[in-house]
Amino acid sequence: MSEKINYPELFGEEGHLNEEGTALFVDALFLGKTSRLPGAIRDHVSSCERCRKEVTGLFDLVSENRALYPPVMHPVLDDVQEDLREGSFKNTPFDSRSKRFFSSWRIAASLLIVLCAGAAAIYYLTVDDKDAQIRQEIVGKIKPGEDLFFRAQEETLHYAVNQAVPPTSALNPKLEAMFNLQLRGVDFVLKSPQKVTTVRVMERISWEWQSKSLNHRLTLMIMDDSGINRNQISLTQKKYQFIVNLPPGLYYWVIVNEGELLSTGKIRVI
Amino acid sequence: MDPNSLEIELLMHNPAALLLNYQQVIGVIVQVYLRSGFFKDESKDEVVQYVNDQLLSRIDIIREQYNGRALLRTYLSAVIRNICAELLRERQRNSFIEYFEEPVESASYETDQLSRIVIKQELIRLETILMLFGPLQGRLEVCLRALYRLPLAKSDFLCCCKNPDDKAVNEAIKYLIQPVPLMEKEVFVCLNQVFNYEKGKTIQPDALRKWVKARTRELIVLLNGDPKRSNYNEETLQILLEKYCIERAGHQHSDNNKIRNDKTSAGYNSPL
Repeated sequence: MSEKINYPELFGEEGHLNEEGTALFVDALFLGKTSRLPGAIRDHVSSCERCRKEVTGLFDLVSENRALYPPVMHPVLDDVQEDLREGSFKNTPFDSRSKRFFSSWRIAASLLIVLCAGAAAIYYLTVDDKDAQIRQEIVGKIKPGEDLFFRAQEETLHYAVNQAVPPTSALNPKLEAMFNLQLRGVDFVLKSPQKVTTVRVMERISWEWQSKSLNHRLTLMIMDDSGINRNQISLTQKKYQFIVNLPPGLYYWVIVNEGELLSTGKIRVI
Repeated sequence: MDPNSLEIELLMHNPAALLLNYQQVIGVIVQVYLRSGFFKDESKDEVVQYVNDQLLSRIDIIREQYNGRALLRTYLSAVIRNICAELLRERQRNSFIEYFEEPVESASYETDQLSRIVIKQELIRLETILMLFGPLQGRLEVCLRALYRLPLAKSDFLCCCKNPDDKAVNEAIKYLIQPVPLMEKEVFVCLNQVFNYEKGKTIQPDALRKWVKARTRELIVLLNGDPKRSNYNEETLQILLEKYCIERAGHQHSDNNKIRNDKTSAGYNSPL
């Protein structure tokens, strides 16, 4: 207990590891350097069921998504820069062919991305730019309960594509045509945002509308200028505040209701 | 500047840019919680929006509380995980619970490539979890091995007793591996004799049994994860422990061979 006093930044008020203490323990597990942890932490974890649960939970999370946690120099546990995270289990009984397997997976995933990107490019180049088609393609693909409509591929692919093709200022003729569609006979009045809005990264943008007949759930979709759906939100109330968690670039948004396009607009993120 | 320092710099001076860089991490963590089945009416993007909102509102606290001891990425993952867990608890309180579907038992028990990878991952998880018990790891492993009738060697007792009595250990092993399975109570009486010799004090076998039972339950909870990702019970834990022992024995064997080869090549005359 007395040693805990020396590490107040790693323990919470209740005497358990706080988030940083838990994170430090997980770092040490990955680096194979638990012996370098302060004794207070090791002793506490070895005797505390709750903290073991926290450490295990975070460890599971990180180990399942290793690609998101690249090896870096550790501020406390590393004396010299080493690529330890990659080989953290090389001295354990379970070191085997995983590296080879995962590298072949990476190659397969890359090939898949290239193929799908090529297929998407061919698809966009060959489709006509007619209003009806635009409506059909944008609105027709939206079904309640389904996930992102442009994202037919795996989650990883979605991210990979997003990373590989950052939005540019070039205008997408298809999305521009959608943006310029005349929307008639719809009981839907958008109060905000403006048709074209400029916001900064992680700023908030509000959608607010009025409608007498539309009381059920609408869908807001935000796609980048290559047509990849970046966000799909179910709107349950007549106001929604969105945090712009998108890289700088041009985005198009649509609000739809059961196959009907209600509103469109553009967001320029800076 | 190394990536961690760069991210700390962003946290201090441009948190928006930092959070933007973390969208993938947030997405992945949210996905883990979505799998739990509690966010029935929400899409991933909606939960991500909620997490972003929480992170933005807590950014000053995060800056204040982060001391640079852990990697920022691991630390923020812990924070994001806690935000998701809070939301999950809120949902559990406010709505009907929809558990994720129990995995359907496979009709085939053929160990394919994927199964092998999953088993390997689970073995790594088990090894890590056992490590969390610190100085008690060795004792727990010996108790579980004895309880589940898995192979035990004298060296296993060396990991959990400082100066084990050779005679007591030999007798214990002999007694534990006899063909007729022992009653659970007898197993703990036997183990207790070895442990008590080392401690020089008397712990009741029943206290040891209760401790092992509690740790077994904890192991099952930890292996099942939070949010729940597996469906371990005592039986499947036993199977996993068996594989763990086999893998470890194989590893130790190859290590011993390596040492023996090294010694032989250095001119050492092996007694074997």
